[in-house]
Amino acid sequence: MDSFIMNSSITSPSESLFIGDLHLGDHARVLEITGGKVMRQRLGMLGIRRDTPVRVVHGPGKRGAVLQVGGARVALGWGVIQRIRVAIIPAESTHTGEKT
Amino acid sequence: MSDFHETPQRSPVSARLPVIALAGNPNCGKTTLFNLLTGAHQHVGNWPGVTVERRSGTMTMGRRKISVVDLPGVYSLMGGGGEDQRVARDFLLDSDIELIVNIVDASNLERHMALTAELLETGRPMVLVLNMVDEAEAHGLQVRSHELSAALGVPVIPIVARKARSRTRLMETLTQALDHPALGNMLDYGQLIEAALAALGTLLPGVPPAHRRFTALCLLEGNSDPIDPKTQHALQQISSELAVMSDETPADLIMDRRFAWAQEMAAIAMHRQGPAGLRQKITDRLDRVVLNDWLGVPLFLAVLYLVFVVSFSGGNIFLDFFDQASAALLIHGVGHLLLSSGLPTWLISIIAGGIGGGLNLVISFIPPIGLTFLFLAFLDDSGYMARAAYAMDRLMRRMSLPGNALVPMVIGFGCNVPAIMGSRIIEDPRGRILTVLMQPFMSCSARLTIYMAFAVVFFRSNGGQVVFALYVLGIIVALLTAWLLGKTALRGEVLPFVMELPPYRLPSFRSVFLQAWQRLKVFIFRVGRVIAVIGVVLFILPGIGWTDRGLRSTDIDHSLLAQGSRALVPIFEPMGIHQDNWPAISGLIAGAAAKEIVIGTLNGIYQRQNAADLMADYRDPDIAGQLLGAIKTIPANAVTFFTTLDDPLGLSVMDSTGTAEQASGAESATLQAIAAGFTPLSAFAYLVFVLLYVPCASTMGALRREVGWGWMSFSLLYGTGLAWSASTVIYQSSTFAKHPGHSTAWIAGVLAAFALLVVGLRLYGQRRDALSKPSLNRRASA
Repeated sequence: MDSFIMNSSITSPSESLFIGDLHLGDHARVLEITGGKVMRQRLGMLGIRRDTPVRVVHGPGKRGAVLQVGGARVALGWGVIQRIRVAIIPAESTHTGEKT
Repeated sequence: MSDFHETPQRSPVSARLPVIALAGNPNCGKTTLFNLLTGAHQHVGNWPGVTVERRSGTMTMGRRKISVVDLPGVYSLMGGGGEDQRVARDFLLDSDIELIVNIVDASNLERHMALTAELLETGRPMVLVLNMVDEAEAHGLQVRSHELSAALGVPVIPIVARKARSRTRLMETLTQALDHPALGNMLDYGQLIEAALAALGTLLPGVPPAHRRFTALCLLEGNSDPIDPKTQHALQQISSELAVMSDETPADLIMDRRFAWAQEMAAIAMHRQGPAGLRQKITDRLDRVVLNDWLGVPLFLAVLYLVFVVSFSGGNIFLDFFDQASAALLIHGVGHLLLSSGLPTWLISIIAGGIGGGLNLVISFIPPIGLTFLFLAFLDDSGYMARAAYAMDRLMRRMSLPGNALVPMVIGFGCNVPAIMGSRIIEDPRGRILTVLMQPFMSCSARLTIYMAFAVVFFRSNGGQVVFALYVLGIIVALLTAWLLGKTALRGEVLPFVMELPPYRLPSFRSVFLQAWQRLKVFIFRVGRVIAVIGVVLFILPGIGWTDRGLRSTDIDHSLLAQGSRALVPIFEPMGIHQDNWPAISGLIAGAAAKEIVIGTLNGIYQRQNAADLMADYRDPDIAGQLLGAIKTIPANAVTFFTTLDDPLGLSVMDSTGTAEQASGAESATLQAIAAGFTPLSAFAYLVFVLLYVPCASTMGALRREVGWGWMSFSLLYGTGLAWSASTVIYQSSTFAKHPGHSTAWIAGVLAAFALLVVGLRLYGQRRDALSKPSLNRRASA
């Protein structure tokens, strides 16, 4: 699994991970938020929802992780990163989002 | 911009000022824009019934006066937010507003535009302000405001609020928008959702037509409950039909469409010109240090240490000046004027000594509190505070507290008032109440003077350690209080940590200064009123007493203060205070107004016991000399500040008895009287009582303001009970050998009372949980 992540290949949905399983610098696309409606709304307000591309800029660790989401950085606690299912994608830039 | 949908012109018959509401995401520069528009013409208060800060002000455009309301920063109006969201939504929907000014961060447009879509749904005229265009340009983006304006159907104005860039253009745009209001193009959710919204809208006859679409959206997204069974039935039917036709829930369909629209609008507004600039690299590098697993926490503690040192040690440079100058003018100067005008001495005492003395107390607080607010505003605007909260979250979570709860705790070492008011940085209401209730146990700088006076007399060789032990005891009691309440009366999970980390910015001086000034104004005018009133009461109490002929002017030994203190002595006997030491109780009573005056009261009592002429200070005051003396304290204190940067608590003065006496503010006669009234053990028990019992009047005022009368009363009773219990246990356990039966009874009584308290808090918590269950069920089913 580790070598697969390091290669940053695209995962199929069956090989999906949680943010807590990613590595620093990984790019991923959100597949699902499993934390219930309130958490989905809360994350949605910060731009984290299904199909959102994200990049790990700190962590993941016991403290949580910081994600680059579009032009913003969002810090998520440990309990949250274990509820966001993602698939790794190749590094890419988005039109208004992250500036590479 | 000519194709905006204009609404009918309003008739200018009403005398009410036109209202502009500023709405936007947190960290979009909304408050900076508010400061830019209103300048010093602001008022900071609370929204009715909640502790959400309400900023309003006025601005003048030409000859027109406009009211500006700065709404709380929210990511959405629809759901998933707390009180801030409700306040913003209710105001936008239910109040008379002429114009919504939506501020968005141009460097992060896609996410900010999601709120814009919701604001357009309110059906109010709108102007979109693209703020921070300089940052967008630094990211290699070119802003196309005309194209965005055409797509939205509302005026769009690019600005840099922090640098006041395009202020004039903004004012012109606002003037035009007020004269020719534009409602903008509402987002088209697609055939399915639009049909569902139309169908639901017909079932809402009680809702004003302009709000039906917004209400229908809330219903369809599951953010509000249907008002009647008929609507509920229809909603269920529509939702299931939509789920069958689209394979998705209506909430997901709506959210997907809204974010897709935000993406489209952002693509229209922004054109990539080149690669990201230096700013992104700086953010990356700074975050690597600030968020580092090993460096993050020590760095935060170092920043807090710096804030603490500069605010309180730095504030002390001017504290004596403010104190002595205001005493010279407001007490001695006013007293002299009143005496010269022939007023009776009792009235002079009340006005000059009571009211003047109270104001003097408030004014001397200004430098440290003002500096604290200044630094908090600076840290907040710089983008660091959110990162610090993330760094501390894991540590604080173990005590049922959110990460940012540590900030007010450290501020509390200087003064509990800004600490309580600073607890507003905590978003979760439960975490905020817990944090507020911890603050009275943090040893503020005012308590230090009491510790020092007693340390000089009783703990000369190890005064520093005793004072340090009291500080640590305060922290332990504060954390245990949060833990206890978190397990009983305020049970619940700490909200999962989800927070946007704003970009690093160099805050503008104007914005930081105005934010700090608004908070300081609240302290001076609201909290100051309480202090002044209590100051008057405490000035009267030592001057009048109950005699055979009723209430009469008496000497201090027969005053109400002495009579009341003597009556209370039996309560304090278990902690080692005896009948002849009634001034110690008077000091505690005075300490309920301000801890600074505990030693002052003791000084006053001993002086007054000997003084024959209370008007001596007012007869021939050397005001010029006093003012000169006050000015001279500034350079002297500045030297002290720079030589004691490594000792912000001032514990080093303990090494020298003379310096410590001076630092405590107590005169030698007072110290001798303290030495006669206490033993080292009873003195330590007394200091523990001072640490834990009722906070000062300013803190009480701040508590009431932030958590309401109920929790304020709990804090007073709990603190006083805990203070008495801790002091009694310390005294009784240390003198156990002398009277084992007596001590056992007291200690057992304290433990039984504590057990009762825990049971009571648990019962309260269960009742609270039971009351909130219906809403939890509703959330779960949703």
